[in-house]
Amino acid sequence: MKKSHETNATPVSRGLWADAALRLLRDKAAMACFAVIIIYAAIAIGSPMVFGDWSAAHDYNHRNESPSWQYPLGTDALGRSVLVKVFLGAHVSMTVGFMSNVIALPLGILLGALGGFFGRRIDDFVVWLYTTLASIPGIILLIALKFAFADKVLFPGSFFELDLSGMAGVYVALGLTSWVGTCRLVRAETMKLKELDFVLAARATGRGNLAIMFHHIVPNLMHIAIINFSLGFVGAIGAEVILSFLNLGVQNLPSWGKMINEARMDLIVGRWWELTAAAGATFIIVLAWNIFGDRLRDALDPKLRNV
Amino acid sequence: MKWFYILSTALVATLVALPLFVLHTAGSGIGAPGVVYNAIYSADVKSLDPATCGDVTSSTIQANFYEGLYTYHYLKRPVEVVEQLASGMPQVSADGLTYTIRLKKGILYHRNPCFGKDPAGRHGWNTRTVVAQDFVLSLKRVADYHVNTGLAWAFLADRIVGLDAYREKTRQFRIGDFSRYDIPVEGIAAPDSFTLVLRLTAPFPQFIYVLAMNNVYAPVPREVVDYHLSTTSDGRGGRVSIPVQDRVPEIMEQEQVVGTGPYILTTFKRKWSIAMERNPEYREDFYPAEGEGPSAGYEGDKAAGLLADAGRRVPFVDRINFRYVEEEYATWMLFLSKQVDVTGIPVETFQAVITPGKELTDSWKKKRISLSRTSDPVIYWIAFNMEDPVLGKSKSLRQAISLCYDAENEIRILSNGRGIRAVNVVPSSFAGHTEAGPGPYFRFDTAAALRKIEDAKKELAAAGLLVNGKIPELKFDMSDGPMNLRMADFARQQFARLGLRLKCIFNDWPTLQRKVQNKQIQMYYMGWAADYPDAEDFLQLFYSKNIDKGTNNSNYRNPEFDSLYEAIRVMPDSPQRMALYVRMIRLISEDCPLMPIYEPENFTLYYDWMLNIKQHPIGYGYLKYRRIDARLRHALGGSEG
Repeated sequence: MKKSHETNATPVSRGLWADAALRLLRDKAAMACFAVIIIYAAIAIGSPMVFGDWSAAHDYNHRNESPSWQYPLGTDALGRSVLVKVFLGAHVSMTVGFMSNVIALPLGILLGALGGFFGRRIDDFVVWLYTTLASIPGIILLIALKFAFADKVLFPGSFFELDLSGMAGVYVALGLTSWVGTCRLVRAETMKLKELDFVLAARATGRGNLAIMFHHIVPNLMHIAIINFSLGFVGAIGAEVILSFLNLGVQNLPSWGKMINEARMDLIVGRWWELTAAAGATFIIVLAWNIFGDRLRDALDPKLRNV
Repeated sequence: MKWFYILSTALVATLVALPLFVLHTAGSGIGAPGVVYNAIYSADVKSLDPATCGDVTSSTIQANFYEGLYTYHYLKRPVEVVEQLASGMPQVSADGLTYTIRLKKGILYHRNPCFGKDPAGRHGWNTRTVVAQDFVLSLKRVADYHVNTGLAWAFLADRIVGLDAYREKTRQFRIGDFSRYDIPVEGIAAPDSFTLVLRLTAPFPQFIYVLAMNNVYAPVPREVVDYHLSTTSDGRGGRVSIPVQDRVPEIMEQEQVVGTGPYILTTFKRKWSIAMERNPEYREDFYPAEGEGPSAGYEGDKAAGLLADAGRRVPFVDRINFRYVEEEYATWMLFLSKQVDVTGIPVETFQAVITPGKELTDSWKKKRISLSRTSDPVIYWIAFNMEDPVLGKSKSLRQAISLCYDAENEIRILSNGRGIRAVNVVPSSFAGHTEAGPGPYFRFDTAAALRKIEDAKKELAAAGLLVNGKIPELKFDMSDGPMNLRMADFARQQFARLGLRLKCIFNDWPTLQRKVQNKQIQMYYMGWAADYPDAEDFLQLFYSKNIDKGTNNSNYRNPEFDSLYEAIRVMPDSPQRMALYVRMIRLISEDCPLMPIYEPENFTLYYDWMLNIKQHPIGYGYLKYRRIDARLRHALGGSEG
């Protein structure tokens, strides 16, 4: 009598993270997107080291050249390689995406967890805060913040000097305006978690509120944080491109938004390469993050697996 | 039931046909008769008040409805002052101090509610003739402390007897108390309705040019002050007095504009559209009968067809529509689609339109497009704020920046070679430019710049202004727009040669001007267009007393320069004055309060239906001479309204 392989198999017990990792590894689309993100990240980290001081770069004798072996993506109006601009634009976009999430996620998690856990006036305050913020159109708020940061330098002369008129201002502005979605999700999840048995057990052992929140609840919110990190990254890249297009973005470095702004008049005379390169680079990374974020959410949220 | 079907069929047919009918009438221009000139403006019009007009855009617009005593001949070159509202050139006393100006009689203001209802009942509102007292009021308004008259006042300060004292007196008045306009000024008199007498404090050889600054000293009727600035509608068809504390002393609304010019302002939507209609009561004014003769490289006005309308009454065009379009690309597309009659050429398209010999390519000529090229007495420069602790303290730093800046490549790359390198602070077409020669630092020499920057570091170190042993980051303000993104990158490349970090700040045009006036700026890109054809117009930009008057925007102070300026401002044209001009230009070239970059060459494209196109290098208000061949425009599919 034959026995089926399945009935003989020993059930394997895996934790949430290991299970999610395995699922992602088996997902070819997710892995391809992840590879794209890693490549962009490597370019973002490596390009400033390779291409050095960009502000001096120019070659006035090779202006507006179409793609060639020497310049695979052509050159711009000042004779600079468009490929190098795309690489340095990746540095700007990835840095802004990462840093704005570094600001927005802890803010969203902290406020959401505080509101959800303590309820009452603290929750009222958190809800009022994010409702107020959410009622202002995001891009308008960003632009207003960038104008407010126009001449601001924090801690001037010190090691921590932060010039808010440049790239730091972009990610601080983005960080301060993009925590609302995370906060809402975290607050709702915290409200659910705090009623569960393991929190009751912790309370029974005499642990204080803050200890319960940070040791028992927040670790269980990490999957939300990771999913929001990936989705927030996309939003931050898009916002940075818009700000740069409006001349409110980074200075001294190329960015995809600036490239699109500079090259928009080029199309009417047939110089398509700079605009296409910037738009293409933005499209690929945004698509990769979107697909990867989607698959990550599927992997980390068991409820969505069969949807 | 039968009627229901008939009615419903008729209704549906009407609804279907209605858009076709509406579109057809809109396209044929029914309801808007006359020839319309379609133009673009791309910068905010800062002022509707002649007294506060100080920028090119405002002058271009205002000159169509305001007129001054004198103007420049439309065609003659070198430029020549001719009378406008004056009936002849001024009679100047032997000591050069008293100017007696007779006015043309019968010049009417545009009809306006401020003159009351037309007693004859033929027009809605009344009008009246221009009298000398109106010029007295306009000069008092220019001197009024409470009216922001930067440029207009700069040319009159210390010039007319009693006018500075009058300005001081106006300070004592509240902003809305217009009784200050009743105080007499010793040096301004109107002995009769058509005679204006101006007494100067000292001879001012350029005074005739100041009087020819088309709209700045245009007459303002007292009725505008008493009606528009002092009262407001009561909502029942009458007027009520505005409390003194709430009155605004500046003309800011379309209905407050009362000029004598060939066009009447009918629509003013800031940053949207401006419309003007022919003034039906415009004085008898005719197209010039004489023009510029043939010269090297120019066939002459007659051969160019610019005298075909000689002696004909102007204006020719019935309506002018200015549309606000900030983007060069959008303007270009509007021109290509024949919705705009005249345009400049965007940098990106220049090579496709203009040959290396700077002529229009044949393919564009076949589109019935023509090219007009002019070199205006304008200099673009990067100005340094001399009150800035870093740039003001270190002459070597300013010299080093001037030496490291590759202006030739800026002209070639950012302007398609449309201009020449400016080598001192006076335009190349003005006397004094060649005599003074190129400034020693207004050339591209990286090695010399690197030597200078070491001196600069020593100067700044001595003043304690280095940050961690380095020159602090410099801030560079400029207008916004896609071209200026490239400009900013280009500037960074130049400054990077000296290891200087540059932060570029983009501003809209009014903001940039405000920051410059308020000295909230370290270094900025701007230019100066000649107000009159004399080097003194550029040299006054460095006279220290003009800092407060808003023309010395680099805040340059040099007692030696000031004493020379005070000497030349009263001197007639002479070799002695030229010698002083040369000394002054060389002083500026040495001190480098600004770095001249280039003198632009203008390329203007227009469709062949536009006639009598000749750019004037200095004056404004020449749209009245332009004629449109409406038949040709219709045949070529140009927009007619």
